[in-house]
Amino acid sequence: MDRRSLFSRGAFTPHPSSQGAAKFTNAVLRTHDNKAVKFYDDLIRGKQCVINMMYADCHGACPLVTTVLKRTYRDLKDRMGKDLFFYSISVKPQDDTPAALKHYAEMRGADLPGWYFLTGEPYDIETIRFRLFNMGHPGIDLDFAMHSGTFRIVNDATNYWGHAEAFASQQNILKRISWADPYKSYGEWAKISRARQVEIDKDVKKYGYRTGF
Amino acid sequence: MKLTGMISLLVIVLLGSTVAALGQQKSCSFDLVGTWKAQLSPTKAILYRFDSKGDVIVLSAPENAEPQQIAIAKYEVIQDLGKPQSVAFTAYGKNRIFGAVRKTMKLVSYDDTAITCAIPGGGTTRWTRVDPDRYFIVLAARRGEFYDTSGSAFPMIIKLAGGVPTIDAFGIYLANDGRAFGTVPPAIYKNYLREARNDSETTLRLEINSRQYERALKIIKEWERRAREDALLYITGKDISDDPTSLNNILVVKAFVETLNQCSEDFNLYKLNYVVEDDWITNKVTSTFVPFYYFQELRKRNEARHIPDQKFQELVHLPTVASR
Repeated sequence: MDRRSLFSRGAFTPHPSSQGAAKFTNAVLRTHDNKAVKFYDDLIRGKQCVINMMYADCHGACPLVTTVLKRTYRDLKDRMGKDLFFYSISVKPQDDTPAALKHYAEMRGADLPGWYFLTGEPYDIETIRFRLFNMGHPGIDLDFAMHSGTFRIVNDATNYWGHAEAFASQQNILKRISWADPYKSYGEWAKISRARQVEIDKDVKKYGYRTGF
Repeated sequence: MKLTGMISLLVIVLLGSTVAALGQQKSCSFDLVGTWKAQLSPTKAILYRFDSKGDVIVLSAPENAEPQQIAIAKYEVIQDLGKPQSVAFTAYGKNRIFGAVRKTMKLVSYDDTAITCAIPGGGTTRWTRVDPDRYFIVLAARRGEFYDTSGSAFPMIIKLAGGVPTIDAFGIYLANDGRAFGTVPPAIYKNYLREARNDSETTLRLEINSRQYERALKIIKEWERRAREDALLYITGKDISDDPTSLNNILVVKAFVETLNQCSEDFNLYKLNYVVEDDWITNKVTSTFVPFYYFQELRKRNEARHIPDQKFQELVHLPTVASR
């Protein structure tokens, strides 16, 4: 999928119950490639995405979280940029220009299709940060560092809203992202079920019991 | 054992003082534009009028006489790593500034109202900002106005220019159809400017400086924009178990109050930080009542600087209020 189709509205269908731009806002952000995008219409509408907050000059959790996302990207690369997207939003937009984010993405090997580093007006970023990550507690929510280890997982097509902790196991992160996956047909579930049974049979043969999830 | 204990105690005290010192670091923005006064003697002062185009007019200001222009120069603020370090002056034509055509003045320190600077060969001098206008804040809250026994709670800022007050107010207030959150109309806020009459009301009135006023006004304007654009930080949703309007109002009053001490410890502020050791209010009352107790606590802590009713009414004549 090329960028034109990604940013074209109507390519993805939102769930009828989605709160849309009223919740996510339609703030205009800029990608690390300096493209202007509307937050809901271009990035969220009808899509499945994993969102985190970061900043380029962060020497604490952010590089580790980016590494976790990179590993997750590798595990889900067949879907990335097609029906799954990663958005890393800067909480220091006054410092993080698109060029600074581009440099960060390249330096971390994260300049990959379907993964966008985003910056914008501080006013808009603050609104988005609260709308995505607030815990209904000003003492926690005013400290942007409190959200740096959390991924917000959204699927606007199914109206799914979840999260994953960046420092949980990789299995846990993948499982939580899968909870937001698009609805599957009975045929698709049957196929998954058959493949899972093959794995279970292998386990039982080898260990005498089932492993994994 | 005793020695180890004493050393540990000393380390804790030293670490504590280091943390406290770092915590007190303030961020003052530097803005030279405006008029500054250097008091040379009890009867003699020099005024420096800096404009935003890079020109400065120097005036001698003897006591009981009109200021006289003595020099005009170009100026440039020299920064290092984004922080102002010095101001370079180049006098126009035959003018001289600090006795020369070119002179650079080192900035020793600055805050909202004063600059301490070192002029080569002229020693260290202190300039104070000259402002003909006066600025005030009023923090007003009540209990027992709404069904849950909570009430209005909003901050106001007042600019008094030429005797005419301009007032901005934003927060939770009692509207005709119940509780409202947003820009408080003049007809409402006028009733909250006066002194508290009983325990269900609290009012704190303080005089502030122009920089504190500008910062506080910026916060009010940002929240007015948020209300106008449906961009409030807390909105109703399943992820919030508390009343989002009360939470938004806490953000407003907290940001408004804390901006007062952004540059220096001007007022005795209460730490509304949700940390149990510092903050008894959020630990004991629901978010709906937090602003009331916050304002009440601030009143207690700044009682000596609270402007009494009569003095305030002499300063701010309500019939002349200029609403925005």
